[in-house]
Amino acid sequence: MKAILWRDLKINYATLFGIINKFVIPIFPLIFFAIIFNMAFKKISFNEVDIPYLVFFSLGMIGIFTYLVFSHTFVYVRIDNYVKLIETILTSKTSLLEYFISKFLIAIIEVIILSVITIILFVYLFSYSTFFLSFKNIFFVLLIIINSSYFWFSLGFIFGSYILRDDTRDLILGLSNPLIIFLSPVYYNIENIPLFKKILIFNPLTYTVNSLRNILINNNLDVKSMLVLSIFSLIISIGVVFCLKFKYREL
Amino acid sequence: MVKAIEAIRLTKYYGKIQALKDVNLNIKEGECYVLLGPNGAGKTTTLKILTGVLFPTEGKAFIYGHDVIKEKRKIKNLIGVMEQFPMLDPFLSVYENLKFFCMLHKLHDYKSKIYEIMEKLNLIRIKDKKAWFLSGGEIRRLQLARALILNPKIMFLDEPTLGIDIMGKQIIWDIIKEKNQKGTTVFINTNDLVEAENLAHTIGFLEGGVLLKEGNLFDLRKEMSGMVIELKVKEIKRELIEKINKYNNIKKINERKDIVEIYIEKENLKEIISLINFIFDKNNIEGINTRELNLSEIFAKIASKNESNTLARS
Repeated sequence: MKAILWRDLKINYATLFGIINKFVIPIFPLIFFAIIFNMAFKKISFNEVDIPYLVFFSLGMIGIFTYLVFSHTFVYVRIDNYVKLIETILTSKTSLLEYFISKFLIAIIEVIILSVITIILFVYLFSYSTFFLSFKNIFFVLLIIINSSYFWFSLGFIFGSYILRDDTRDLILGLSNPLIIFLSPVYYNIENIPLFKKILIFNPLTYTVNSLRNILINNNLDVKSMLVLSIFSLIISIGVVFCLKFKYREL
Repeated sequence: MVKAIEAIRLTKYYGKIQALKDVNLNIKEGECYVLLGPNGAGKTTTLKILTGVLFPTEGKAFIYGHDVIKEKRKIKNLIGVMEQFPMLDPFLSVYENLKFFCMLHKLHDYKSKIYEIMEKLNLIRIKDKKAWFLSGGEIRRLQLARALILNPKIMFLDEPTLGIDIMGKQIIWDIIKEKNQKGTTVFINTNDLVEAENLAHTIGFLEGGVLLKEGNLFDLRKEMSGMVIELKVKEIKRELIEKINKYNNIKKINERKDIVEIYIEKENLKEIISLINFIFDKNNIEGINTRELNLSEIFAKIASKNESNTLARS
């Protein structure tokens, strides 16, 4: 595990550009978008309470960060397959499970850092101190972030393992990015669009964003959403085991 | 003697395409085995199966008695692999690539080992150069360094000198020979005949996924019993070539500017020389030379023999 962690930190965080790429670029366009939309909408109704759009959207942003783990993992695992790093691991004493865990650790730390930056930005800089930030809530928020990131990470790992063609990757990411993000309650309230509601229930991002909002805005533990998210993670775990066993013959 | 590598009826299909067919290998400890064959013959597939990267569709493979499928972890401690394609991290330097490799293999106190190997392979002066900017020769040396640093019992080298100039090849061959003389078993995939002649104790000929023949060079030459008569002539006269070609014991005739190569069986040598003297005008012959078949000729002969056997069977 040490080797993979060392390599990833060396490649991605050794330069200022690397740090900007990881922590500034994902946040900046979303903040810009949030401010513009906030000027247009001001308030949005969530669970029959009117809240500032910035507060509403900030938690959608955390959902997006967890989803972005999918495209990053897809791209990086595919590259590691392409440059035969995974083949090197298969002939080394490091197991592919260690590779999986190391990569996931890095991904989850990135999402947590991005989420903390977002919350700090919205709570302190924009003075929206309406979040219920108790220890219990922070614990459950972390749990949701880990759970959701795990799902997207695993999906990215499976896709990166099987899809090696550039054009197929571009097609999948080109389609999935807008579909997953826009067919989720990231930008708007799901209750306002009943037609979409049927589609949104198949999107794990819906449960991530809903449970985050329920905890931090309503101080309400959304057990149902968390449970559904866990079921998604459980299903994807079967896919990961299948991939490790049959694609890489590791387990 | 201990069996270092054993393969029993290895067969591999990629979809409907058969890449290997019933390949059997028996390589003793300390041996340098060269698997020779054209591109697409199945050499890399064989190596990948033996190193546990690919699984055979049928058959079994063992490294020091350990099943490469069931005891994958055990064989990782015994082998060092130099892959055909550069498996280096382009964003890491030469030193960092070696460090990363040592960490992957969970080696301790690797720093001195890395410097020692870099010294040996003349990589010290480029230790901080990113792998992205390395030349073909530097990449191969770095890959070899990775295979050597583990000090494995068996080294698997896939086209170790591919794309390297002759001086660079010589350096790599010397290092491989040195390791082999110290007891390391070496398995090399190559289509470089000079490399095979230089390094091999045993040569295996693989074509179309079939191991056609194996043996040491001396025995193979003896068994193939072929010879080549090289005639240097002032002028190649077509009617004379056609005349000599009609003779039954002539296997093949090659013409190259003013050289005529006549392929024969060893036992017919005297007879053919007399025939040449009879047919050719002595004033036209500038020189005559006989030689044994080289590796490429042996390979061609084995391949054509296999083809005619297959045709006969069908």
